[in-house]
Amino acid sequence: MYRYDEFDKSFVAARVAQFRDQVARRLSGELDDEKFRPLRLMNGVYLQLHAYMLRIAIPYGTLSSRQLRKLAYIARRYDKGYGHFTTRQNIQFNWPALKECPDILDELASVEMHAIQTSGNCIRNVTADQFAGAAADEIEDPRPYAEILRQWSSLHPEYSFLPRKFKIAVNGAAKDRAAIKVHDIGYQIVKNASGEVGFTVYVGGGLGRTPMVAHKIRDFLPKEDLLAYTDAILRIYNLEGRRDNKYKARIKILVHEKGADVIRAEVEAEFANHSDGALTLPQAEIDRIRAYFAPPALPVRQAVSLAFEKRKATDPAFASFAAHNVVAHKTPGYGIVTVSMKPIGGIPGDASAEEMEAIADLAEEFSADEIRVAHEQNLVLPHVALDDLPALFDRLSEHGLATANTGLVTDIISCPGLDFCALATARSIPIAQRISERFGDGARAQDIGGIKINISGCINACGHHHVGHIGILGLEKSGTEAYQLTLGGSADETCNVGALTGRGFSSEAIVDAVETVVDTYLKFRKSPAEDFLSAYRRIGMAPFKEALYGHE
Amino acid sequence: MSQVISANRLIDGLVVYAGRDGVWTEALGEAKVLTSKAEAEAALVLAQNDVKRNFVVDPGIVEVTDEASSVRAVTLRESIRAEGPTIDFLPPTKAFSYEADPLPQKRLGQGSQAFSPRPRLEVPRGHELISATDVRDDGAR
Repeated sequence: MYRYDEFDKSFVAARVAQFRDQVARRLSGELDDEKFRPLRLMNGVYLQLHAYMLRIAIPYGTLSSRQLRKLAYIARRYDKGYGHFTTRQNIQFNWPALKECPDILDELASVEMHAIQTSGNCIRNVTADQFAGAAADEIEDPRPYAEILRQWSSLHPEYSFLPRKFKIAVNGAAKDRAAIKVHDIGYQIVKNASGEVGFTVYVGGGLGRTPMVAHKIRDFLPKEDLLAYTDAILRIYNLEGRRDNKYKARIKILVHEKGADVIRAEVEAEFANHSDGALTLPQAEIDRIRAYFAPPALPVRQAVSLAFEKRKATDPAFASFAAHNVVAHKTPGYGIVTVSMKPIGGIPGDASAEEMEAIADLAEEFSADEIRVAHEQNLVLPHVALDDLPALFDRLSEHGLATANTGLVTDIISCPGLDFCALATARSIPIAQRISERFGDGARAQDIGGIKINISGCINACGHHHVGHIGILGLEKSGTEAYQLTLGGSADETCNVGALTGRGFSSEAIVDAVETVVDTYLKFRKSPAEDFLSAYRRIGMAPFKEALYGHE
Repeated sequence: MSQVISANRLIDGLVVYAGRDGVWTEALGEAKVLTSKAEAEAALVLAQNDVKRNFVVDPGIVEVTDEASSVRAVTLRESIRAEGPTIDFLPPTKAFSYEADPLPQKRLGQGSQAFSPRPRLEVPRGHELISATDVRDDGAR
């Protein structure tokens, strides 16, 4: 893992001291709310419906046990005993008191964490594939590049007041697990014909009220040009992005209005003309950062684990867990374990302090001290020996953390919605809970197979509803909650924005509507091997519309 | 027409209402119900004064119904602000405490109930002087 150097340490400490002074001046009245608001937002402190909310960056979703324990401590000591993992691999605390926020930031700094650039019109936390550095299908670990981008973009003077926020994701395998095509910039690590590793560059993706799939503007970018090229994109955006209308200020609108070919030409010209070498990454520096992310020294093991196979053969619950929550590791004899934060009927992404501590302990014992946060709001133990899986499963079960539903119908992405969020127009968590309870974790959920249901409580789309196989958008219609349904969205390498089914549904009717959609899929699929998205892509919207609305 | 004035308390962000006796209260039931436009506008001016005095932020007028001596918010959003999240979001209580915790009250209400009593914070230092629109420490009652 990346460790702070002296510069990082003093930089974060200075920032905390500065914010402590700002909070003191706000509480004493020296600063009024208008002056203070941008200052608190720069430190991740929002004011929500019930209280302040503190959003903490988890760069590329990687945590050590020590860091996760600190988050548990903060949850218990400064909040109400839990935290909420978000779709951008961050964690949010929903109840911190303003006057204690500087203390929380001090606690975070002690474990090399902060809340810088988790708000505001700047380059936000850079995200990556949650299986980075572990996945069998990986070309190269994306995190060193995410870290390089993080260092370069932190408090970057030129990019601290962009037209709007700016999100970058880096993915290291052919399978896109980081949803890069719905980011302002998506970097896909690729290998070219001569065997060199670099990036394919996508620009102008995003969700929100105007969902857009990013356009590819370059097939192959050499590694050393990562910063120079990002700089060229940001310069074009900073100059040309709209500042007259908040809703048209993201780079996706610029790319859409000017066209990807024009933006490509402009970025390439900027890159060619102004790339004086200052931002060219020296190989030594890439190597230095990569060294922090060197794979842990995992003991050599047999590729096939007898303990694992034996338990699978005799324990259906374990076999189900292994089938859904464990994927192949690049090291033989190891697996990557997803710890579902989606218990049946639970709140997606919420983790209690006790759960965080339990997972921290298990990571220390079984996963080389590492935890990842997935943008699907689950946690991941990336380096688990197959031999240890039975013991890990038993320990997770003791803590109620062994729900075997990764990628299934109950693995729902949900924003906090109107229960917490000041922007929300409808509740999303209760809908997620009811859908989860409706389908449960029995044979029916298994039969339905892989499907992604994403729920947002407003048009800003933090719940990624546009790219859910089934997407649900909560709105307010004449004073009551109403829910629109979209189908066929996808956040992976086949990225697609879902299509609206038609008129919306009431809170009472939306779960039935989702069930109707799922039943229609079951009726029309060729075989259980054809998953929901494949079936939808084959048969289209018509059968679903018919099932939902009849001939009305 | 029935309305109340609501805001978020500066120090901890919690939802507060302008009360009958001129103090901010965390309970909607204790809010002063305003029945005319003139009354609401005057109350909002008082609330703005408390913004300047750094007690609250973002004050606004909230529509309520005031029937059978029970005040309720009209919109779902304001109901949620008044009563808390509609979901059982608090983790089960575990016997655990850190020593020298200056905010022991904060963990009150971490139980299995769907709606938690709101956490109570002490009155900020320097704000103890009682004035017409002071922040009141409900937890002390």
